[in-house]
Amino acid sequence: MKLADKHGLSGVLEVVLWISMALGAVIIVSLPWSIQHFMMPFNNNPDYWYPRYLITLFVSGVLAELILWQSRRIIHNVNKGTIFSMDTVKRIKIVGVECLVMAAFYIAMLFFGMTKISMAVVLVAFLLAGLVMLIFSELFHQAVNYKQENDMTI
Amino acid sequence: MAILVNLDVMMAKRKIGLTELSDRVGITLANLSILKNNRARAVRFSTLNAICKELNCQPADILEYVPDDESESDQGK
Repeated sequence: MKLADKHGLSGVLEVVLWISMALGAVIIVSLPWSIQHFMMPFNNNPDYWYPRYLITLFVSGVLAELILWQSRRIIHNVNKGTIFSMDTVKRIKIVGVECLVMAAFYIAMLFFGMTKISMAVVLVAFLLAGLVMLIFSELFHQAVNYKQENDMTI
Repeated sequence: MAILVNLDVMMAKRKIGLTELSDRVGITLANLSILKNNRARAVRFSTLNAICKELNCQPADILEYVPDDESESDQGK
């Protein structure tokens, strides 16, 4: 099985990302109901935690959907055979910025009482992922330049 | 670009078309077109060698150095 091919792993991954986006959308829409029924019964102060959970998970979900969308487009470029293009560079940079926005949002939520260890873990993970993505976009930018140089050498 | 490719001049002198030259040199028509229209960033020695061999000429017959200002004004014409 080839890794970077429409009929290989990246082809499967594109389908998985589509399904993940669809499932994510369903979960986001059902958040008011699902938080109420699955999380609040085990909580000792639902009036305090419900709005905090709802806002945190809703914003996280929307940002995750945006990251999934860009990831799917990047994988689509892999399947098309145009991975080293400015479109990929732009999309990797957008993913990086979205990860940093997610980290910034989690920092903001710390000041609104969402002081849980899981929040800190996700915050650090997205902060690092965002920074790595920004560096990767710069690496891809240089790779695109090298490719253009190579393509225009006759 | 300060280096101009005068391939079209040499092709006219030898009365050879782009398609025939690309067949004889062994590079694609698209790449030869890029070279002829001064859009190439670099030329391999092997390509230059093959073109000179087929056109029976020297590299200097194909390549010309033009100072940047002059080159830009030529392209603006």
